[in-house]
Amino acid sequence: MYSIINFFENLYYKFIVMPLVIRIAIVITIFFILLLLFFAVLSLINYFIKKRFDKREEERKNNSDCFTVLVEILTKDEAIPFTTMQYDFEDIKSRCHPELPDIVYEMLVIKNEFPSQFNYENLQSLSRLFKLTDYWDDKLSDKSLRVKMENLQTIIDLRANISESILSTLLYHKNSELRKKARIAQIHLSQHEPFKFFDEEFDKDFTVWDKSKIHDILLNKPTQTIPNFIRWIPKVKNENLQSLFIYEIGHYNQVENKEFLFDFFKQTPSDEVKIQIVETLHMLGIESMAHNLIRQYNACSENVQLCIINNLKHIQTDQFLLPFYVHAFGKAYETELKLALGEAIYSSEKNGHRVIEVLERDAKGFDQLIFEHIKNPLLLN
Amino acid sequence: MDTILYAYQYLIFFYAFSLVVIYTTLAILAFFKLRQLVAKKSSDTGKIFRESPFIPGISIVAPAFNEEKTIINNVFSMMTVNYPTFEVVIVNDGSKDDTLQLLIDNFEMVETTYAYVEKIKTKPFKRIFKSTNPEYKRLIVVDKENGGTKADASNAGVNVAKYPYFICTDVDCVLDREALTKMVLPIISTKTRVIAVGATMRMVNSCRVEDGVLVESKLPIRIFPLYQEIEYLRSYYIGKLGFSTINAVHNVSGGLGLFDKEIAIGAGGYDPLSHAEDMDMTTRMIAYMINYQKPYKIEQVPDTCAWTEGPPTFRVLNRQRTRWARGLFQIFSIHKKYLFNRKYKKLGLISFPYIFIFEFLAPIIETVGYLATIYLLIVGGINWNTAFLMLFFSYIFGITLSFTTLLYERLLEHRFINREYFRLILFCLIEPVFYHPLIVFFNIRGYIDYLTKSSFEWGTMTREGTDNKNTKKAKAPSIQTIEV
Repeated sequence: MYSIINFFENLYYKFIVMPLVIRIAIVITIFFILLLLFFAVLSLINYFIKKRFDKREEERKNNSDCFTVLVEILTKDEAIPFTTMQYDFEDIKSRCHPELPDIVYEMLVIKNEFPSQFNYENLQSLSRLFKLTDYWDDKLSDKSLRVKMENLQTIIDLRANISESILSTLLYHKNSELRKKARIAQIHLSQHEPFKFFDEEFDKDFTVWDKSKIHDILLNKPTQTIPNFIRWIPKVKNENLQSLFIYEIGHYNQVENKEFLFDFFKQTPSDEVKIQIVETLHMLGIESMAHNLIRQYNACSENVQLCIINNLKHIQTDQFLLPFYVHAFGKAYETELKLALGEAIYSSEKNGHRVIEVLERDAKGFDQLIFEHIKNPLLLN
Repeated sequence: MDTILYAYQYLIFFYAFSLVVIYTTLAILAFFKLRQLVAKKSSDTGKIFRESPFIPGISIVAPAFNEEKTIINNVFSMMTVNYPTFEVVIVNDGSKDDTLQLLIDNFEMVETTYAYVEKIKTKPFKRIFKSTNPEYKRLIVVDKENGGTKADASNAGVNVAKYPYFICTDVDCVLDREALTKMVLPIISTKTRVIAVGATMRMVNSCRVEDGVLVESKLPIRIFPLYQEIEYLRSYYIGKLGFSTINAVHNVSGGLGLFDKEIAIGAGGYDPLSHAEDMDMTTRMIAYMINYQKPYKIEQVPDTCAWTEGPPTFRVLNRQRTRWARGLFQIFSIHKKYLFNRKYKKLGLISFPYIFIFEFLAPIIETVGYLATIYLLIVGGINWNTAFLMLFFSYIFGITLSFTTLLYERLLEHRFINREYFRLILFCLIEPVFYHPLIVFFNIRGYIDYLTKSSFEWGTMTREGTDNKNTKKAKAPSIQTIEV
């Protein structure tokens, strides 16, 4: 013992008298050697974990009976009554994996392999039988953020049921990813207030990606449960969220909101929102709004003007639009806008081609090229 | 002389010490970013992308100069990406071989009238080709006079691009089918405007490519591409990913980068006189945002989104590296005003000082070190104990960094089999003594070339295609299966 202490003491005194540079170099070198050793150990552990995982995966694949029985249930056209499933449960259970995570994994695999045939009602019944709600409640109460995130994503993917009280603990979580995921899950899980967060700007970190995820969740909801989005538009300030509501009005054909949308078009200073309104009006039938939009045309930015033209050009009437296009074409100086206006004139039902010919005769230089571009069938959008 | 050498030794030590601190910090930052990104991954991303009406369109811009060997395969690779709204703009920069003719024949292209607007100045534009086959409606070929640099050709592509974002890539790159999805995610999932996104690139040399689609990822068999793979991984997983956590990425690679078109045009596009057009444009885009006091972000995606051909021979490696070195030298001659300039925030106080001290000066300092060692050997002035300790210190740090990179790769992507990882480890162990001195030599040559104004033109990288025997070349491919 004494010799060991002596050895380290010697080492220490040798070290302490070394120049500073050498001491730093030694410390860093030792640190990196230890780090390398740590990596080696980590790699070994990782290797064995992976081996175990592969073995388990192999076993899972070999036990294809579980997959077969779950496919039978989850891709059945009609919903199996819960009592029938309960009657057969012992048989189902005996054919399935013993561990719940493996069963959930199989469900996800089946959902991804048979997305159009996946029967969510049967999944609900299976979840009840396997007590998956309790399992997910446990997972969502886990300390690990990763476990919470993964399981919440699975719940969203499978549109599974969980208790709202557990979900509510995540709705104000400090991690924005988890918080937003929980709020999105709330839209299709909550029986009482699925759209609660639409009243609260949804989230302070609301992005285009969240918009896409909410749209995806809404697509999965039965149409009769979709609300009229108009009530949130004047309430929220986030432009991304406003344009989501406006888009959904068009998607769910909420035609009664047309007038309101046009009024909002006049009020909002945001180009992004204006563009979305024009596109939504197009989805709802823009013909009746064409006059109003034309009146607003000159007061809009180039991007909004472009959007108005691109949406109006589908109306096949010469009566008032063609003179407007020709007038706007004469005033426009941005190439993109000129091209859009030219295409609109050219696609006008009766006189479009003739008007383009007349305009082309007077055109010079680059303008002439614009007309050739417009008439080129390979460049039609 | 002794005093100078003494001071130099101290300087070098603290230089190396600073490098250790910086790289360790970057590795730690990169680790946290990786963890965060892994947690965000969702199996439903593809489905949401396909069904969302809010995803922005992307133009893939790829300049081509004498690329007849790989052009068809790689255009097909670009056409098969899984993304709802995109177009492919190939710029034939006055190729002297059959590049243009191959495109015309294989994709049924015809010359067409087009209102070309020169938003960024380029060498004269000649004509536009579009396909008569609706299957290839997303493809557009721009034919222009040779501009001498990739930058000029890229600018012509940006002028034609119709979507708000463009990806600039090399035509020899094989794109991952999910590349666009992965690269656009940082743009749509943050509130701050993301002006550019970089992604990881790897070597295609030994991979199996069928009809322009990578079907099997393999470690390069040849030595130089293999070392480039290690270098790329280190740069992407530690350098760029680490810097992206503090929003200080200074270069979005010319091989694969996604840019905000409006900002790129506002900043003047690629500089046709630049030898490092990618870094030059990234720098100007950052400066543009700072000058206009607009908040911005530059992101780095750790996922592999493209495979490119690594220099197969010594001669090609030499050409590539001297060009990069010339480019770096040029960057500091043109943009020296940003260096240590507080007005340019992270660009002036973090990114530029870092590149200047630890990337630009490194080959010079190392070369002086080699010369000083030779001098000390001759005069017998070396303290061998200290010298070995210092060498061991640098060596152990270098290999730890490489191993950390491999560990990150294994955690995130796990592209190789165990045998390939062992090969990588082995090559990492000998990299500091074999490969690294070569790179220092090429860099010094590049600096001398720049100072002596030696002539420079792009596109001289010799393309050999992949050396995997199972690789299949695409011939008049059908893209019906990838419509989304």
